[in-house]
Amino acid sequence: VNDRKNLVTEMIEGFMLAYGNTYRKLEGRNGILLRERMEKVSIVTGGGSGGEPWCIGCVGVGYADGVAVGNVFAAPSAMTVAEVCREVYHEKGILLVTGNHAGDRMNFELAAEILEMEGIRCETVLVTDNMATSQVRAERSGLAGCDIVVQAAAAAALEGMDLDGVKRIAAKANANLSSLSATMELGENPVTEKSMGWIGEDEVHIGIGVTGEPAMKIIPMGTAKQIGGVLTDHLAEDLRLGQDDEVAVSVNGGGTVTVMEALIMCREVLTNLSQRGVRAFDVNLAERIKVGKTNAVTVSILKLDPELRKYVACPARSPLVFKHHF
Amino acid sequence: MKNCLSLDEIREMLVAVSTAIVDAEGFLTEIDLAVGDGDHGTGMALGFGEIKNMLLQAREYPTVQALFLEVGGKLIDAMGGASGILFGTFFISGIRHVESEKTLALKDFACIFENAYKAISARGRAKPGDKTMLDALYPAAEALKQAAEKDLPLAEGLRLASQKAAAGAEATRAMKASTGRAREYREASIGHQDPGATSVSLIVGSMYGYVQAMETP
Repeated sequence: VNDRKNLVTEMIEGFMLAYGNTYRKLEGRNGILLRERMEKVSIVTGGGSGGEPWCIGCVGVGYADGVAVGNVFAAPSAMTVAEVCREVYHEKGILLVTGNHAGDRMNFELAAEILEMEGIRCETVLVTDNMATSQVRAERSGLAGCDIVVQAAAAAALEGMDLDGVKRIAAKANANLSSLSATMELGENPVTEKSMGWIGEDEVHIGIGVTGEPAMKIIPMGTAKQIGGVLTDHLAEDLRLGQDDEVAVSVNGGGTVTVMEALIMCREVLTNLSQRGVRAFDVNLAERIKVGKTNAVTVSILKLDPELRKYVACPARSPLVFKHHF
Repeated sequence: MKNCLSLDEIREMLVAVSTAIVDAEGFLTEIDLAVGDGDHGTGMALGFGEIKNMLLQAREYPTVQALFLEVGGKLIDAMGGASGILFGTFFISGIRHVESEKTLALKDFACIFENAYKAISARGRAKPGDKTMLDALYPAAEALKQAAEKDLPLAEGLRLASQKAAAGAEATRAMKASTGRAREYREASIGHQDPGATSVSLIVGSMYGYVQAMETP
């Protein structure tokens, strides 16, 4: 890198040089928007940098219409969120989606208040998929689920649903979504280059969150089958999955996990689910959040009903992530 | 006797508020080092320093809402982090339900403080007694509300609010931090005044100071 204090600015400059035909950046603020202003409910998301492709990658057709990009591991400012919202098509209202982390939540809440004063209607859904952080769903933090919720909401918006409907879909997706991570090694903070923590060589930490939420338990280093089993067992219990349930599964190999390893983890998760009689309707093997040299895998499971099933099958694409139903 | 402030006086009052915070940087840093990482004074001075510069450039604001929105937004952008958003909330959420657009009377101050208290409490998930800025904000809001109900003069209402805010900030000494970053200092925080509450007390105190100075020939 060139300058560790300038990481986010230069990252966005790179993105704009590469994809400026499709995207535009706000003047003086780290907000990125699709150039095309579709006449529908807009989706605006955002969060801290440092875990790309989240959040800069979450803006695109079938994803969000605009994204507010924070500094490394810091929430975007409420003023940036508000400015993104003023610039996207907002005549039919805006759904704000962000992870349930204090900084993101407070900035998005305040942005919503400012917009309301200006007569722009918006609703907010906070993503609470990290099952390790609380027994109470509403108190959980967000993990890898933000772009899953954004994608479902965007599909509903593209179909022409109104703001209340789009919010309902996003809230329903969030209420049926649980994620859990297994971390073998923690990476370093890209700004300070300091390690974010230490994990014993023969340990796997289950449940570490994206903003440093601690593990809910530590298990001995094991095979993909063992680790995948632990993750799937917890998620299945959390979502009360049973015979004939249908789910969308996302396996996110973050950091130094190879595609080969992620596919092996996918094998274990899907086998475990199938043994329970749970049908994986949609499987997405995507890098959603990737922090430095972290070696971690996150599994997200979304329990489907016919309505969610329809929306998760919709395509979504950005230069950094895509969603396709195979 | 002055019973409401004009737009330009409100701008001047906020310059006085900013000056008080900038001048208190050393003191705020000192008390924050006892219960946190010591960045509160620097952050506040940075944010309010920018506001002061902005307001001294004597721009005309169309409404008090526009003025407060710009002040709050500047604080969020300049300070960042939890302090930025919470002090930004003070101004932005505070002005939200105020109907008057060109002047502020005591009842408008009461409205601002009540809204700010409610919004910050919800946003920061804290309540009075948690050793936060709310411990100065809540008593100030209550004092303003009672003064407005009694139809007291503006300066008298602000004087009472300023007294209550100072007492509230002082009372945080005995409290144990249970939220925010100071939470990590729980027991160790006892005996030290909360920096956020102190800043609120400085803000209310300098509002009163401004109005009082206007009335002193």
